[in-house]
Amino acid sequence: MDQLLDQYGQGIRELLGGYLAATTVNGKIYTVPTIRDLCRGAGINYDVELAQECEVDMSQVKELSDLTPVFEQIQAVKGKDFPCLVNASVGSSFLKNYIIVDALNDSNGVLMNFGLDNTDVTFFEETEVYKEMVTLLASWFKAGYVQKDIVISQEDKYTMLRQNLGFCYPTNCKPGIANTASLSVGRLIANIQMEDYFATTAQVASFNFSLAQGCIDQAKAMEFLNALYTDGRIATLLGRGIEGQHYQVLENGQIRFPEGVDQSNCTFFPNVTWAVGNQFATPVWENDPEDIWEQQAAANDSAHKSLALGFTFDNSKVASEVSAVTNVRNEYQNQIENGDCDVDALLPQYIQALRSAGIETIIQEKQTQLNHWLANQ
Amino acid sequence: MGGRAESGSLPEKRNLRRELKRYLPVYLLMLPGLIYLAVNNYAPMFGLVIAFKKMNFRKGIFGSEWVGLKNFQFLFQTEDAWIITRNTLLYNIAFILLGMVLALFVAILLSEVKNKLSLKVYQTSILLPHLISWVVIAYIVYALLSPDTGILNKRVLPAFGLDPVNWYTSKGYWPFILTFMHLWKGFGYSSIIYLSSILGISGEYYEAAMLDGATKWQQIKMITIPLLKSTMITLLILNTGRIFYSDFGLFYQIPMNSGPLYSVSNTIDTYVFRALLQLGDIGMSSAAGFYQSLWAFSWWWAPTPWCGGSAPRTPCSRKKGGFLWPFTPKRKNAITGYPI
Repeated sequence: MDQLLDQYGQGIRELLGGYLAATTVNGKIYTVPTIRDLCRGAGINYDVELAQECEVDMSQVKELSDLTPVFEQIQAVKGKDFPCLVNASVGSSFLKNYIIVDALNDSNGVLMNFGLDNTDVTFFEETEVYKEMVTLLASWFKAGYVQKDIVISQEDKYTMLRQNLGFCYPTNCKPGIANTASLSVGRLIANIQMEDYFATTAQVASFNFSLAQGCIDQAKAMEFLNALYTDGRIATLLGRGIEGQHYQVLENGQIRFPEGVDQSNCTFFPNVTWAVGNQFATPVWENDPEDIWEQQAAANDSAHKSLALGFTFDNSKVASEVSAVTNVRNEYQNQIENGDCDVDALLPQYIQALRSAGIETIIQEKQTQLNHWLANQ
Repeated sequence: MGGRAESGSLPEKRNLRRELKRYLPVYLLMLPGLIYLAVNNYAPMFGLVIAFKKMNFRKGIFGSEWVGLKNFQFLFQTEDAWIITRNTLLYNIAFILLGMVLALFVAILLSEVKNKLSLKVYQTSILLPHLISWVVIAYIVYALLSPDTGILNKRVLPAFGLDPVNWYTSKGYWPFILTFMHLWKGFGYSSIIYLSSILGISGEYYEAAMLDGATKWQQIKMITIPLLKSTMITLLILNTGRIFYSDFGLFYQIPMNSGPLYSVSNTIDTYVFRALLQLGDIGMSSAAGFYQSLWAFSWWWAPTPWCGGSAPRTPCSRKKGGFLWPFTPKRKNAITGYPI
């Protein structure tokens, strides 16, 4: 897309700046990331009312292990087997949402410590860090703090919390995440961020726009894309709907639902303004701080950037190993990373299964490609 | 000396035309089905080549490059190929044998029911599971087996003083659970087929047997089952021909797609589905499907042991033909010239 961007997409280039490196392969830009939270920090979202009901002081919670006494207290009030920790999304696991490494595309070989200070592709499942986290999760599950059918549950976290059947879940943190969650759940949700902001290729390149190969009028399409990024009206239309019908503007420029409309009966409420190009150009929702986009931009700029930002792993040479490893992960990963197992028994099995599926071949190939890419920077 | 000439000695041409005219309506009746078969089953066979290509959707199926056996590598990289084949085969063998026994048992029981109304009620209620979709059944099972709110864990097991079991992550129970679910869904349907055959058995045999002082069990053993042989064999042949095909709804929906259960619930069909969904590589999933087709094709001879003579006979006569009956040379009656 390089030429098109130069000709019609200057706005996009200006807004994204260095982050465009994340969607570049072999020097050519293939897609453009949308402007949103380009960095992430791991943390949890929790139900404020429930915390107050159980008289839990969440301000003391700074790390994951601090949650254990919190869960105990909640169960003391709500009864044993109350699922304090619910699944972040269907078919997912805790560690898939509470990310503490640079996954380098597919988590087969990662950079520890967010890739801030090293470029050694590591077998994550073998490390002490992984073992500690998984053991903590298993202890939670054993104590009954975790949703019992977390491995197979088809229920969304929002549904669970809305029905008052859960307390917290792991999430990616960014300014305003609590408000987004509160909107989706319908109750007040607060956020505790436990890890710093950092930016990896996966996070930046997670949602992009590109032009289809069969695009007939590429120039016009690029012009539209540019408008999506620079003209706030289009982004607002796609992301929030029609003024008056789906939202109304308040005096300070913020918006909210019109009279009589709320989350359950609004005809257009996708609540995914991060997907419409330039989120920062859409008006701020009611409960968010007015300067939330500035906050986010500041976070984006200040986030620790992984040393591998811009590196994309090409797995065509190890495709069959990747398939085999994916199959192994489907079998074990959710169970282990949700804590629903005996870690001492299952973890070595998991590691062994990954090994025999060929994960070390993938890691070596990734390291070679990474070194090659670094050398060319 | 020959008796009447056999019909095959008439001139071929006249025979064919006459046959065509006589049976034209029947052929026309077959036509829609044949077209459907051709379009849905035979035409797509050319797609088997996808298993040997690296699919590039812009170049299309015929333009994509050949990669030989590379797409099959991931199957054999781990034990996956062995596991899914073993699962498919073993489950099907269990289903066929147990299913037949259960259906027979129920059919014999049903044939003894005298009250017409009761018979209708029983038939309808055992047929009901067959009509329910697997997705619905999966949630009914979930209501039973859910770790925290399921009926088993919450009411039944504590009543016996047992600890609750995390069903969806414990592998050991699932061969039994899946077999039970399959039998529960299918026995109504199969037993009706057997029932209709049993009802066709003349009551005279039973009367004669009772006069001779046969017990119920002896009647079943000597009259009912031998006379059901042709039905049993027909169903056996049909089922054995599908021994590499698995009921997708059963193996995918009932375990709620739980990862830890893959090694006991993954059959070739679910494996191919998951491969395409999660790997996104149509070449590799076609390879897995091709693997299944190869197995099924190479076992075409599997039902033949059951083909050793299936014509209905009285309980006293020998089986016609023998092993591999369609392939034994035809014998003819020495006097009349008719085939035996």
